[in-house]
Amino acid sequence: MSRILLLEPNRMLAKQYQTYLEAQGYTVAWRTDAQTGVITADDFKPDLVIFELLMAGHSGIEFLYEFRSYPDWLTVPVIILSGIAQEASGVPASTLQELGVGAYLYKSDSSLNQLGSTVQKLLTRTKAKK
Amino acid sequence: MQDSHTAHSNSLLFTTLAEQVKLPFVQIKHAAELSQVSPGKNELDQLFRTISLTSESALKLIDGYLLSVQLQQESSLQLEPVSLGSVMYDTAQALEAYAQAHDCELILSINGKYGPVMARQDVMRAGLLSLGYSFIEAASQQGIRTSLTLAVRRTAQGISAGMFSNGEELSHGLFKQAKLLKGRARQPLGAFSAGSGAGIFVADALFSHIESPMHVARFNGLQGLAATLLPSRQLSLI
Repeated sequence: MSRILLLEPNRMLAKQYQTYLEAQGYTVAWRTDAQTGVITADDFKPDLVIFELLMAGHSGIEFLYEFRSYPDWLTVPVIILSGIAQEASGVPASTLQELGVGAYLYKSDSSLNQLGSTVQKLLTRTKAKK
Repeated sequence: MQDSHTAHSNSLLFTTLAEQVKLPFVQIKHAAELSQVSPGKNELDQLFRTISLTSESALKLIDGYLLSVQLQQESSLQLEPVSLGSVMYDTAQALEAYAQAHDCELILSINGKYGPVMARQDVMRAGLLSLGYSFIEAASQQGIRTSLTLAVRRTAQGISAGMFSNGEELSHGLFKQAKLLKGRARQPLGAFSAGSGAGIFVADALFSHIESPMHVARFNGLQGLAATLLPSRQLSLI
């Protein structure tokens, strides 16, 4: 059973993502900010991380730089699930690629099923590489 | 006719509002999707409750914004004696379910006797609600159960009413910076405003129209935002 670390500041939205992903058979750890996200990743050892760019304190991109600085987490697939569209995020596509972002989902445009299929695709791809 | 400064300010406020109301729509959309996945009665009840609360918060924010735009068009604003205690009580009741859904404790503190203040009841209510929704959403991001206090207190300038949290330090400089960044960039008021901070800016616009712009305030060691109102000269009958 794959473990997913979810960093989402909005409680009601996070519960929805968690409910959906757990119904798909994943184990989900939900945190609201980047700092506790890094600490949790250390214990939880996620197979995949989903995070929002806009979080209180450190941003999602700051989280990702920190996360990728640990060798153990260099190949863990990550999904940005944000209220900001990619074009408006100010983060160049080349940076996302360098940081190994598997997918960028804009909340307004994405359904739970799209999130689920993206998670499944990235996990399958990672397993195939191993 | 609006001057260019007012038009620009309105446009930025509208941008923050549009950014903010996207979130409730996303929640409602996902609740509808989840109803297909989790069709049990309890789950459906929970989803309908989510839809109800999130749509209510978005509607109140939009109403607050519209009221602030309408107030700009009034040639002269007539203030009236308003019972602050009654407005605070109504606001706390209206916010209670939303606070619970966000694992937040909401405390109403109107200790002491306050006569009527010069304000507008609809503006006070809409402003405090917008402020409350913003604080609740921001508090729920802390990841721990947080207490928020809706409070009134007497100050040297008048009677101050606002929302307070035990979150991080809030300075006048930070609030000023937040206002400058309104509608343009990420908000620095993490513990007080979620997302674009529309709730705070709509409240500020509303209170500014009744000549009581919001300011940084303290209450029993808590940090928050409040509006200071002048007492009415009308005798309080209670």
